[in-house]
Order: sequence, then C-alpha cells, then structure tokens
Amino acid sequence: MRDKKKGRKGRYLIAGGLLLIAAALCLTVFNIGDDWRAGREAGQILAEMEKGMEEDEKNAAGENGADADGQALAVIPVDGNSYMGVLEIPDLDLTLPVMADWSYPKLRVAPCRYMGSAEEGNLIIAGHNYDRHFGRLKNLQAGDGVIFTDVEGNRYEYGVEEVLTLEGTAVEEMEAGDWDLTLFTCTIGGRLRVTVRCSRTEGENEADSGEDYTGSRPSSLSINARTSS
Amino acid sequence: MKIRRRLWAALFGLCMVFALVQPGMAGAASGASLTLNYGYPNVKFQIYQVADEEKRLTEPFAGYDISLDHNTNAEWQELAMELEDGVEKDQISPTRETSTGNDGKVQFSGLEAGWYLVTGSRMKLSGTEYKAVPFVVNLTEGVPMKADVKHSPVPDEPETPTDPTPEEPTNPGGSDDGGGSSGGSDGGSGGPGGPGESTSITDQDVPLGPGSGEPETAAVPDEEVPLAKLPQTGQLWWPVPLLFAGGCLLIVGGMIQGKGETSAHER
Repeated sequence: MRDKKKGRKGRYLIAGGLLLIAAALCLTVFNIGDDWRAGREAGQILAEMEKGMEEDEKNAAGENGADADGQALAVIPVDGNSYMGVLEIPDLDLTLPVMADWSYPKLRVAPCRYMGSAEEGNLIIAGHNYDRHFGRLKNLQAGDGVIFTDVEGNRYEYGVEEVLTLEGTAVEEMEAGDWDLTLFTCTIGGRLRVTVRCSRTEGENEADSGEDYTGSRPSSLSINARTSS
Repeated sequence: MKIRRRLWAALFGLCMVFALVQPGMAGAASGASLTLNYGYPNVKFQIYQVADEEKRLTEPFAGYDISLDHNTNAEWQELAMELEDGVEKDQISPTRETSTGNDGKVQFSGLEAGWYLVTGSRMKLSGTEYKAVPFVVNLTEGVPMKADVKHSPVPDEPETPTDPTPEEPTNPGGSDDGGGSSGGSDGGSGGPGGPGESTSITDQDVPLGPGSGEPETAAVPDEEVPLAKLPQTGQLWWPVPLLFAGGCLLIVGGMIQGKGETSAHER
C-alpha cells in the first residue's frame, strides 16, 4: 500500500516536472514569436515610412511633433505612431525605424527616442532586446559605424566609442556625458542595460553644416523621462 | 478515499496549469506601483490621481488649469507644489494614504496607470517641522517605480519654546495624525544637544535621512529628482531556465520514487 502511494507520488512528480518543462517551452516559443513579430513589424513600418517620405517630398510638407523639450521634431505618422527617422547599424545588418517618443507598448514595435535629438547631438534611443531590434548591440565594438537618418533626409553618421553596461537605475549616468548618440537595451536578465556610446563622425548632408554643436544642451529631463512612459 | 485522491489530483493539475499559463501572461500588467523611500517611520504619505495615462484630468482636478507637459524639473516641482496647495484648499481626498514602515519606506500598489501627485505629512525633528517635498509621477501598469523622497523645513513655523520644561510630544500636521511620532516624539528638545535632552534624532551622528542639508527655505529645490529606473526593455527570459531546472528536478524525484516502488515489488 505504501509502495503504491510512493509510486503514485512519483508519477505526480514526473507529471509536475513535465508541466514545468512545458511552461518553459511555452515561454521560449512566446519570446521567439514576439521577436519575429517585432522584426516583421519594423520591416513593415520602414516600408510605410519610405512611402510617407516620398509623399512628403511631393507635397513639400511634413508633420512636426514636439518632443518633451519643446523642440520641433519632424515625424512621419504610421499606424498611429510618430516616427522620427531610421537607424542603421551595418555591422549588425540592422535597419530600424525610430519612434519619436517612448512607451512600453511602443517599445514592442520599434526602438524609441528616449530623449534628445540628433540635431542637438544628444540623442538617446532605447530598444527592446529582441534579436531583430537591439538584442545584438553588445556585439558592437569601438569603431563600428551607426547611421541615423531623420525623416527630412538629414543623415548623421556616428562611430561607436564604447559599449558598456549600466545598472537599471543609472538614469543620470545614462543621460550624462557628451555623447552624440546613445543606444541602450536590457541584458538578458533584465537587470542591467547594455549601452552603446557613439560620437559623430564626418557625414554627408549634415543637418546644420558648420554649426557648432557644443552649445548648451537641454536640461536633464529626469522627471519627464520618468513620467513619459 | 478515491474522491479525495481525485480532488488532490485535480488541485495539483490546476496548479500545474497555472504554472503553464503564467509565462504566457508574462507581459500582462498587474497594476502600477510606487515605492517611496523617506527614511523615517510612521510618516503618512498621500497619493492623488491627477490624470489618467492619456493626461485627462480626473474629476477632483477637472477644474484645475494645469499642464502635464513640462520641460524642466523646476516646472514639475512648481506644478507639484501648486497641486499640493490645491488639494489642501479644496480638501481633496487622496486616492490612497498610508504610513511609512519601520524601514522608512511605503509602497502604493495596484494603482491605475496615470499621473499622480505624491505628498507627505509633516514630521517634527529637533523642534523643527519638516515636510516631504511633493512631486508628480507618471505610473505605468506592470512597472514598479521607486523614488527617494526629500524633505525640507516648513517655513514660518513658530519658534520652539526655550523653556527647559520638556514639551509634550505633538503630532505633526492637522488631520494627518500620527506622522513621525516614533521618530520625532523626543519631547521637543530645544535643539541638538540641548541640556538634559538626548535623543537619537538629535544625535549628530544620525543622518537626517534623504535630503539632509536642505536649505532653510521651502523653495523649489534645484537638485534633480532622479528618475527611478531606466525603461525595462527586455523580454522575459529569466524564468525559462528556472522552470526547466525545476521540471527536471521533479522528474528525477519522481523517477527515484518510482524506482523505490519497483525495488520493493522485486523484494
């Protein structure tokens, strides 16, 4: 009788173990599917943005959004979201649209501007660690190239200066410094942030050629960033 | 007996199904939460929902002419102070109110996403009343926020009496009773190191908590209110190895149990 109980208990344990493994597989499949969806959506958005940019050229008009700084940002609306440009990372074979502002639902669709602007030289872009978004940022090395093209066609070229990891609470560190472009995403565990710091290099069609980018930067948007999720 | 076994089996199965479903709901929101670190126990904090996540003002604040689009911390601080004056004047009830625990922290959870004003009750330290600096925060469901709350002296407070007779401990604030009692009820000492007075609060070695060294005014503080956390931009991968390892352990345990039965049968 006792042995029968033991046997039954053993079967329950095996069943429980199989269920947990099934849960792990479900989560894995969900994450992979989400990753694939994010990549597909980004591709679709890029196509829509190209159409939008062509139409804007024809109409000689475009939308302007204002960021939290009050700066005017040229944007293109696609599916109810405003996009400010396209980010290319040739070394990772990545071309992604960038949204003008961020929120958690928006981050699931495309990388988003966290703060700053390319024109001001203090742009910070956050993206999910999907493989098809910013998941491979950690593979970048100093000297790799990054290109951001805004919706008006202004092209900004950057070189990676350093790739580092910051704590999830290191907001001031993230926003500090004199970096022209910063990209960041979560590590696999979600606790830390892989951060890529980039500096502007010489590029074509600079937005304001000859202008000095060492002017005062907008004040830190700690509260706005905190409250604009 | 059979029915009991079936009931246990059904319960076990439900637990396992729950374990299966949970990862699928990994992205689901569980309400917004805010944890405040103030450093002092038994201080009441109030949270008022000013607007929803679309920045539409809630009913108590519908008549307020305010904007939730600001560029600088100073502007946000000014808004928070304006709102704080407003809720006092119009006697607006807070969405939630609770006191800090012994660790000086308090958590508001299960909140709707939206914009909130956070205020704190007064507390007395060494005969001076302090008040938490109010602030406005945007809370998102499923994203726990944390904030260190600063305090500053309340201006225009009556001078504490220099009478050596110890004062009766007074509760800070009017209707916000009970705040700061354990930290501040030191008998109203005349000041640090006053004659015959010796409390841990007035001890110079004891830090004043967040915001110590604040200027002696209630002016809008210049220092930045730090953002609690950078956006969470990661997929939920960490439960996968845990679930897998747990599953393997259970299977191994089950096989060992089963082997024990087989050996007993053979005997």
